[in-house]
Amino acid sequence: MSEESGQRKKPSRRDRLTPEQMEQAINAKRSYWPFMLAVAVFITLAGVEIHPIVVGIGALLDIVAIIGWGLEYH
Amino acid sequence: MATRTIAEGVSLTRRKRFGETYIGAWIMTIDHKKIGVMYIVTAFFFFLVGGVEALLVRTQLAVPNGNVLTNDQYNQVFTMHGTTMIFLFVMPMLTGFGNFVVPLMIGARDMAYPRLNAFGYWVVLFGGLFLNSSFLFGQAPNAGWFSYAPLTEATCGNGVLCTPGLNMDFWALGILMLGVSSIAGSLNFVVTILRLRAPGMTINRMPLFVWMSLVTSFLLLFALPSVTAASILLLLDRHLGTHFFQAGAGGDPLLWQHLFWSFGHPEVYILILPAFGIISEVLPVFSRKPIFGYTFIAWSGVAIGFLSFTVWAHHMFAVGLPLVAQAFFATSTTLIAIPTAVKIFNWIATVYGGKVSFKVPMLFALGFIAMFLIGGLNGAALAVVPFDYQVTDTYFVVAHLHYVLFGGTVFGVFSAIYYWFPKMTGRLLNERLGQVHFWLMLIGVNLTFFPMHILGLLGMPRRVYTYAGNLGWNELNLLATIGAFIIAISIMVFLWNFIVTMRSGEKSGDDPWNAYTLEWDTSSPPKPYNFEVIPTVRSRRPFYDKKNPEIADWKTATH
Repeated sequence: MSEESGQRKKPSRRDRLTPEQMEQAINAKRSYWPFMLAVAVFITLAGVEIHPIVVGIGALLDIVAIIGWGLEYH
Repeated sequence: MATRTIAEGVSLTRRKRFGETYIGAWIMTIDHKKIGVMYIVTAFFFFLVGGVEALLVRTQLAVPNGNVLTNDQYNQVFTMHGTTMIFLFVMPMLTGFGNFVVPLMIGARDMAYPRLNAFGYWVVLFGGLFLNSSFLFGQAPNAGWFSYAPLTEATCGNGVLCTPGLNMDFWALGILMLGVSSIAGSLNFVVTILRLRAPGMTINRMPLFVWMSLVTSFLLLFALPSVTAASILLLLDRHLGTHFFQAGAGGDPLLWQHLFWSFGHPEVYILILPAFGIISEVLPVFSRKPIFGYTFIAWSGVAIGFLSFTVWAHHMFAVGLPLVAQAFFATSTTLIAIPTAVKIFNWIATVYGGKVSFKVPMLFALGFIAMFLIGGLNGAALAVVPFDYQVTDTYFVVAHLHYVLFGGTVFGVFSAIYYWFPKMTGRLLNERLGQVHFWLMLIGVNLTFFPMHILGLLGMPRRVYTYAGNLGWNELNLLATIGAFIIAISIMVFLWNFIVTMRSGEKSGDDPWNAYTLEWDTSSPPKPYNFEVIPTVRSRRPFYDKKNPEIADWKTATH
């Protein structure tokens, strides 16, 4: 391979982070909806073992968590 | 003189949001590195749980007529040992390393779907808790990790009770839950690897761990549906009165075995391929050479992936398959040894002539090759149908699978822990304690599992909770139990090493191994955004190129 073809142009602006973008990247790395949805799935399945009412509560929480996740601003 | 306004004072005493507290930061994180660490810690916790279960099994079998466990307790413990080690230790552990390392290796800032990634982790945690909560009810799964129907049905027909309790409901629901996590995780890996690679990192320049993670993710996507379907059918049989697996009512017990093993054998490669990737990263760094036969190693992984879907019925030779099916599955099982051997020859060629440094990650990598070779060879023996007839469901099979999954995967996992620990924590695990850990584990593994070959040949069936004292199995069983406790001691040495290192371990710097790949081109531990500037990739060893511009690979290599 020639030296030229191995070379790559300077990183574009998209590839380089400004300090503000770095701060944003850190703050964006948070959401409690994945945790909430996993808890809801757990309650739903545990309900199968415990009581149908628990399944209903779990299903309700599943729906809340999915909607919350979908509407979360990111 | 006052220098601050009241408003400034208020802002300085603002209460932290939940996401800014220590616990909140972990619960709410969608950073692939933190999620990777959580996967690894959780998986290691379940490794300890599964290890205690293994010790209970071995203590029960140490002497004939053992009475540490009752027969039902024994069934629960060995079933949960297998289920825990496979679904709650090895799979999450390898996913954890993939999470931490893959985006760094390919020069990405995160996984493609960070929230889905976090969801996958939490489902594993709660799935694990769900499965293990069955012990609280005294009804843990008790029919082996492959849960053969109709044993797992509530009734076996004609009013005969099989497993009427909650035991197998826990298993089926737990596997469904963990399957959701695996699907989410593997989809994420596929998209991340195919779409988020740094500019210049072509498929042929990807690190081999990334290659193996990609193949594993595809295997999961294609293999999981069959066990998911099987679990749902089992639940329907148990609760809604269907009879999918009951011959007396027109069902077919072998349907379960076909569905389970068409997942179960690709699963074996799901458990070992990432370890192949780890070894392919560690060997070149500690041999100070590029990997030998990169293309062959990468594409033999793909070949193994394809072939792994063609071998499942070698688990079922003894059920009376038609002759042509036996011939087909014996042939395909033998064939899959070829790409596996290709890898082993390339690893040996990588080390050969290298400037080998026997640091702990390298010791575990070399231990992996030796142990996995034994597991591979006795696996090839099991492909021979008449021999398989003789040792089906004996301890020979137990020896084989433990040489592959413990001698292979677990050695690979420890190689990865020692190799990437400095990147995760900024500290080097103690070398001397690491060596003690390695040698104890190597001795323990061979002492535990090698005698099982002979026990199998002597006819000791697996899954029996006790045995009579006049069968010639006593000494070999005692030896295996001693070996298991030596493994336990080696794990305690590792835990001690971990504690000592986290308290006062040597600082590692960013690149303690003088490594070749991009994850080492970041701080240790890496910043949340990984790379301030997305790196430039011109060869298979981009970080080596950066450190050695005058002899960079891209000046001479043709890939």
